[in-house]
Amino acid sequence: MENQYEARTFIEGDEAELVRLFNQAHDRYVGFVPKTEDYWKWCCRDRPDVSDEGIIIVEEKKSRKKAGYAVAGKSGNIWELCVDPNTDKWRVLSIIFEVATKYLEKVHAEQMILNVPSDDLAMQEACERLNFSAVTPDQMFIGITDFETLIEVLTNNSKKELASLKETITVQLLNARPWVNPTFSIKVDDEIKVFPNAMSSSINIKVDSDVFTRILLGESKPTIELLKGKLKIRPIRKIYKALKFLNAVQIRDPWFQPSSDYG
Amino acid sequence: MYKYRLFSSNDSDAVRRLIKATFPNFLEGEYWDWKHLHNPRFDPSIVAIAEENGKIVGCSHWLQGSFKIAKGAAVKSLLTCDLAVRPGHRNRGVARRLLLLRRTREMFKQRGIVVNYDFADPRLAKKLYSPLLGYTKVRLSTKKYFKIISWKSLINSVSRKEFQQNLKRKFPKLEKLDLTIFFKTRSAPPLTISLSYGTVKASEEVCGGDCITVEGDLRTFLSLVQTQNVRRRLLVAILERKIKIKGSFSKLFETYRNASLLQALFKIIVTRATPVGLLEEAGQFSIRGYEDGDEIEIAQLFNKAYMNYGGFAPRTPEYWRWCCLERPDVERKAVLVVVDRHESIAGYAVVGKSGSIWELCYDHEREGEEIVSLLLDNLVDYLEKIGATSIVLNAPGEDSIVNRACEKFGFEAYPTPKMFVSVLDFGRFIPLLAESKKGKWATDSDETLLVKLKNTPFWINDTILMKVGRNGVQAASDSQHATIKVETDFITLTSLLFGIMSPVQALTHLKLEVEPFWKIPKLLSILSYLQMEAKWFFPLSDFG
Repeated sequence: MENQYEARTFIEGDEAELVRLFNQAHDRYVGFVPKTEDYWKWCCRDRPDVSDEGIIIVEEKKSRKKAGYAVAGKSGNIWELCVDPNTDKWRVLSIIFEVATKYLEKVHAEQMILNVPSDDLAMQEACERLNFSAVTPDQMFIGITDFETLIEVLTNNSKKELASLKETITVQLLNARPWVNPTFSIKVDDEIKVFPNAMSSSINIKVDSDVFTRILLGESKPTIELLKGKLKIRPIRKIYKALKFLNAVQIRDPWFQPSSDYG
Repeated sequence: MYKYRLFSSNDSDAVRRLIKATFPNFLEGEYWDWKHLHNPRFDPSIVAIAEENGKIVGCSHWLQGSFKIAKGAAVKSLLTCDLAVRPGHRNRGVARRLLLLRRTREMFKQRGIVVNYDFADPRLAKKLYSPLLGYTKVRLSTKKYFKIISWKSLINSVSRKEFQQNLKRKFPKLEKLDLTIFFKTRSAPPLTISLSYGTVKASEEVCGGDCITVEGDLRTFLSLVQTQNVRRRLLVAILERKIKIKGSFSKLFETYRNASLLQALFKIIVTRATPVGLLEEAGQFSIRGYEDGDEIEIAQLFNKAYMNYGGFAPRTPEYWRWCCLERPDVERKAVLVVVDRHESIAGYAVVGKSGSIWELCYDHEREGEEIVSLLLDNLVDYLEKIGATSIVLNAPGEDSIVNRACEKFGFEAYPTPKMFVSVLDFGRFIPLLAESKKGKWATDSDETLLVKLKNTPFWINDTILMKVGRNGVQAASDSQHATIKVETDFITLTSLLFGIMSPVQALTHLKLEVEPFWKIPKLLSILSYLQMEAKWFFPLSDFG
């Protein structure tokens, strides 16, 4: 079968399309910096070990549509690797890896390192077939500095789930760090509003600040924390509704970090 | 005295040097310029500096940006990065102060910051970031892959005269050896190393002639580098099918005889791969001998490891030096120290020529199995070399890691000597016990307890009067106001306090007489509260 893709290196003006491709390919993930042209330029193109020759772009021969790209640094790091989900991923990846390996050999890099989403089986299969070994990825640690705004953002995403709740919930964070507001209220009605103080509420939640962070980041289940006694909900008859609220605001999307984000 | 302040443009050179020295494999000077100084998002008002006598000794950076937190939603964020403290100023709270500088609610509100994140060393995160800043580790759906695409730098270093001379000095047998080893390493190109009567050559060619073929992955090679007994570890790796070695019988025999040379070659291969930190999970520890100054960290590690135990002398650097380092049968090289990549001590063992392992201790928050195995492997090797006839070690019964490792190394458990303890002054001892359990006992009433002791040695006061209640335990003076009177004997009270006898047992054995009788439940509750819960453990060094 004739190869419908071909590779080339970066030329001025490509960035808009690459940024679009990045955001499209990582649409289902969270935990990274959304790319803008300026940010992409700084974190990829301006990176000291990256030259335009190391930015490998694979396009469809006929339509010139970008099917994938990789940003290879002279250090051997593939800072970004991105493939359009609607293409023949294996073929596109093979081309990218072939060109990247040649480039890295040329610049005397001696290893190749890359991050891949762990649920992207096509990418993983490609890595295994191309004799890569898996190693422990870097770990990400998150602290929340503004619970009110975060909850406002998260509730906006779960409006449908929360529509029937019609409650005012006051959250009291125990052992909160000094830079965090320890008490805030959320009024769930037709509109969801978060207030930075305690209000006369129908549900009161008392929870350790670190436990609440884990719950919001999806690292712990509200029901489990309730059973462990680390989450206190009053009145008891509203436990179901409080859990429904907490489950709705939890981040459940997979976390992915491209290497380019941590420089 | 350290001074903490914000970055100013005059600090660039000093900070660049500090970052370059702290992260030599990762962040070189130009990276700092790119990442911070020339970054459009760089804001000097969120870069913290620590200085001592006008010299910059630490820095911490924040990068402001956005962060995708949910599908279609991003929030403003700060990335904490490039926290660096000069080695001589570590463990003095500098990093802590740097991280807290400017960390206020107003600052975050003003900038609209919702999350703060970091890509941190997990150990540092556990020790510093999570407790101090409330960071939570997120389960990333990320896999990291690597492969080596060239052995060029290895081939270059092998061809250097100095390398060949060093190898010959270390392995004089090299002059008479004619052996070619072909390494088939997973995720790496082929590598052939030829040892021919004193000369060493390496190439990426596949060996076609009479050679030994070694097939395996870097992780296995690394485990062979870390061991002192390479022959035994090599055999185990072959039996576990982690490594395959093929070749003619005579060549195989020759390789086995020169196993330490093979180990040196594995080391060359592995160190070529490890500077980029690819094998962190497998080979984060290395072992070395004691160095002056280690005793501070060692004493801290000992006290941390055994903080839940009772029955030994808490370590100070001076006491540790006396009871371990200056012990007549301990050589300096027999104080083995396991360090991580940052030279932080993760475990140590002190071995005497007599075969006694005076102390063996590891950080319980780290990979205990790896640390203990590394220590046992090396100390057994040391004792074999000096011709010790037996090895003795005291380990806490509950420490499954040390117990498992001992079994693996063929140790047998045998009864330990018994320890006998007595109390000389209950009046001071009981409030101390209560102090150690502060917060674990809740009571809503105060009681004045009068304890009359029978069969006391003449140097012990036979009357104890104390107030027990919401404020803990304090000595009381007026026996007229005692609300609970107890009569018991000296041995029973000692056994109760040391946790050898339960209060209910003492009562049913009629060893306690309580007045008034309806206060019995209260007394049982007080005695249970005062009882020592800590397990007893004494390292050999304490009574040797």
